[in-house]
Amino acid sequence: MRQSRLVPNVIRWIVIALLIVGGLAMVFPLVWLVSTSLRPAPELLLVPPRLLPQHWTLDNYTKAFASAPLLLYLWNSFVFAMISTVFILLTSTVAGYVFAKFSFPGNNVLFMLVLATAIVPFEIYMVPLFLQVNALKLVNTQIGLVLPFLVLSYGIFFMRQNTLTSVPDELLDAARIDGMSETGIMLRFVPRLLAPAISALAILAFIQAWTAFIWPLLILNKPVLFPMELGLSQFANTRVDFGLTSAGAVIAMLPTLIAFLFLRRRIVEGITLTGLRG
Amino acid sequence: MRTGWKKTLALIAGVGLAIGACGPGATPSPSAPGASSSAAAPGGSTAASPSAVANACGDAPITLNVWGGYPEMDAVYKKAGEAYTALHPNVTFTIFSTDLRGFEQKLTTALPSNTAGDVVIRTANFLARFIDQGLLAPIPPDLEAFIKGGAYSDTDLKDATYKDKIVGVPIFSSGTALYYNKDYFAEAGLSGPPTTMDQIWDYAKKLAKVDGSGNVTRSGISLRLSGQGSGVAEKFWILLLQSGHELVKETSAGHYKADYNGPEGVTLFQHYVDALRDKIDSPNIDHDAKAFETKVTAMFAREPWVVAEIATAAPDLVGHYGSISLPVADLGATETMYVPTSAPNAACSWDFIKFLTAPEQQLTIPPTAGWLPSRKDLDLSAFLAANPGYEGFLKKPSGLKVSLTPPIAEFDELETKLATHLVDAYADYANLAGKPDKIQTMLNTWADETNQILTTNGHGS
Amino acid sequence: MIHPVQAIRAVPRRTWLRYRFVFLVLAPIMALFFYLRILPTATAVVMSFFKWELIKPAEQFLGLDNYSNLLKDDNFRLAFFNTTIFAVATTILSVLLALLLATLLARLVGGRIGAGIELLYFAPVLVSVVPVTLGWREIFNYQHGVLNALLGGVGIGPQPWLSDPTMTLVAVIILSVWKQLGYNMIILLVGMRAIPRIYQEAAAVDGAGAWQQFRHITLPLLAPVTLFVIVITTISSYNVFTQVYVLASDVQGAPGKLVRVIVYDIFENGFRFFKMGYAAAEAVYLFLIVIVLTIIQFRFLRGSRV
Repeated sequence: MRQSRLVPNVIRWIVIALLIVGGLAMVFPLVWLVSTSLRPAPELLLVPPRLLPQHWTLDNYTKAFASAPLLLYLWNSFVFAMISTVFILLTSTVAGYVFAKFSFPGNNVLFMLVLATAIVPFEIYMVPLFLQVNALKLVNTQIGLVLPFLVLSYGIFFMRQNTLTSVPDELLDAARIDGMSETGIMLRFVPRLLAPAISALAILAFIQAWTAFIWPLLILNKPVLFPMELGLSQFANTRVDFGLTSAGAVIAMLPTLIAFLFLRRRIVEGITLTGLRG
Repeated sequence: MRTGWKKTLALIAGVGLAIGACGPGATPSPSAPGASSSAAAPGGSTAASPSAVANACGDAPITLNVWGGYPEMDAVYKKAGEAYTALHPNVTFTIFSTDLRGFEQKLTTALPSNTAGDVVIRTANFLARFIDQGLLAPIPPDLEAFIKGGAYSDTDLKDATYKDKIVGVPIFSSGTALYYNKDYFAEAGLSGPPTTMDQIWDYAKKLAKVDGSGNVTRSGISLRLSGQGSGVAEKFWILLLQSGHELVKETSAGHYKADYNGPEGVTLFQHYVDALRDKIDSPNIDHDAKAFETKVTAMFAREPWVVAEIATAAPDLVGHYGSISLPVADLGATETMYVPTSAPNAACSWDFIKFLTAPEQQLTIPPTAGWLPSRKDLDLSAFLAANPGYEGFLKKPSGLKVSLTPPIAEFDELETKLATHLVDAYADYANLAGKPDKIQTMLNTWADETNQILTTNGHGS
Repeated sequence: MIHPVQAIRAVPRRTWLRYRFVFLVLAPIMALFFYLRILPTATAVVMSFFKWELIKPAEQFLGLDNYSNLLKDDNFRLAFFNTTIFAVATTILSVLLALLLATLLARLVGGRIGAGIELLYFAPVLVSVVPVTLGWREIFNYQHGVLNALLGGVGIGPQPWLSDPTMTLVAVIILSVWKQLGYNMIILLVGMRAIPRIYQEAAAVDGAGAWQQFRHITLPLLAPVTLFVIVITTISSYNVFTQVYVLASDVQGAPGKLVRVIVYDIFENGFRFFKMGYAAAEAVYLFLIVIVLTIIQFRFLRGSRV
């Protein structure tokens, strides 16, 4: 990775040290959460609180897996998040590209409309949306669950902005002159240029679906269909079982962590393909 | 890269499918039949529950969805479900519960769209609107006769009544008692828990501790000073009841008026701000159950679930605390059971509800969930002996008056708005302590708003 | 008066093909949008002119009553005030800090260390809001919380993070910046790394220093992505709800002070008081405020076709 040789090494190491200190402060609440998940119930209310438990225990985790079909919930969340992510990536990349690189009557208006839908809080349109989905008889189904998560206004906005930054017109013209079809450009050429952005959007879409709670709560009745967050809220009486809730939160966090680690390399690798040639 | 992406996604999907194929089956296995509940049979005679009808549930496999708003009751419903399946092997259960806020949102979308469960458990109060819309079925006559037959207290019956009809079947009830720390009481030289309001305030003063920098390190009594929703007003109401006043008083049938801005209301409010001024309690110290469990308060008033929490989260407190009934009055609430009108297996659902009223099932509630059963004709003496923390809930002074939430739809709104005002006023205690006139004016302003809300909804006096 | 058929024929074929392409691509996506977002929102907006109690069908047409009553409503005014302060503070803090982080990580730190640091700052985004907010409640605790302990270590007295009205707002801001920072950082990093190297190399050849490179090349080219981050942080700040709800709930110990924000007020009006039409009007106000802010932000950051 290129380093700027204009900045002396000493400063560089000081900056790194400061960043690490800041980073540790950032993860402190998470460390605390993990520590809580490893505590037995009587240690939850220690005064003054201790960071590390006196008696380490995996009880919360065994209890979590015993009181609810967590693997099933994890699987449901995984399917849900994957479908949502794929659709969001597809619709966002394609629409973002079109909004950014094509002039046509209504471009701005439509885009503003898309952006406007991002502003409205979910609490407001969730009831009419529920009634719509109910009219389609999709309540308590997997399709009904995933439906609102097939598009993401932010996604379109994000890909449009990234297209503006990373896809120069010249490159597009060159591809057209080379004989590529518009569809080919849209589905093969442009995404290659936008790989880092696509990876970033993938993570964000995945996390959004993974941590969704209210819509699954409204649309699902059968526990067999529950995703993680909803499943967790079922058995945890958060008053007494904060250890249990924390264990659930840690379990829920791991897949998103893995997804991030997996996708992060793509964000870095993407840079080698940009740049105008010659 | 795009094709590379597709391959990666396909790989993930494939791995995922493989995991899914090896993972748990698609449907959770039904609770094993044969396990019946283990609570001790009640001593003495009790009114017999209507016997479960042999074939209300037919022979075809049925799954009943039980919806409740208190996750700690899940274990109770589950055990009851297992016992019921032992009698009716074709019936299995799924229990759905979530915290109260989520539950209320869920009911609001599910009931009107006919996608709700088979058995719904909530207060008659909250469900009043739904009852108005005909979304909840009326109780079958035989069950209604049983309910009126003496197994339940008048208060429970009243709380289950809406528009002069009993609408729900009581299952578990709540009340408030005063928890007190015996060690702190002994240390302050107090021989026993307080039995009058004056004693409560007096003892609180003696029990509070302040450190060198003027910070309260132990509150004499832990008051509810902040929080969202209507809790702050509800706790104020409970203490107000001790002086014979309500938040809103029924002046004539269906008409109400604010009742908290009289001299007793002013006095109670003064106690609050004086307590803050005199460092008996403080906004900066922990409050509520947590404070009691970490021993930074000597007294506080709450519902029975705290006993169960102390047993798990603060076991060193067991034996060192007690609970005593409030002196004059209490605020009661009864959770009741319903069957939505759209439920497909109504007869079976009602049968299960009948099953839950049986003494054996009622008696599983306290040890499992910490709440108290609604039936008053059960013998809980053995339970009380084993769990003395419940004393304040089971031993009530004769003549204790139990108040209920008025069956008006706008009560939640006016209680919540009052709570918002109280929170702001408590924060301003320095300017209000010792100024009864100012307090009176303030309460009057709030009462105007309360009365306005009542009038707008047709319940003004 | 132009004859329509002649007008259509006057459009060059390439343009026509272009329009057709755009239509084929956008139509299905916009159809989904319409069904999933625009239609339910429009329903809610229509309901804002009625007395809608959620369970019953709407009965009474109220015209603009909901809107005018809101303007007189103390709770709404307080919510608007709190939310605006919160949104401004959170946006400024989280965007500037994210920009700083992204720059340092893109230019100064690299390789494994950089990856590790990115993970540390991004981790808060991965965890569910409710349990972690309960954890933050402990951190903000007056007597035993870590924050007050640290402040004590440098000689500052303990702060009433969850009881004082102002401090509670500050606490929610801290919590939200904490959660938002990593999100913004990743997006800005992606944007930065996407800037073709060749521009910076050319500038370096011309003798420009690190700071000049940053100010005249990176920053302007980053403008579209920076605009994105500012806009979405503003939008999500105006939509803050769960953290505020959890901090003030009586689950797991004593509740903190409630910071009344707009979406909390909407939730309370709609789902507690069942005044859904009123809540919908409130949402329309929220929408208008944010769209105005967004348009201002677009204008302000207008660079090369932002």
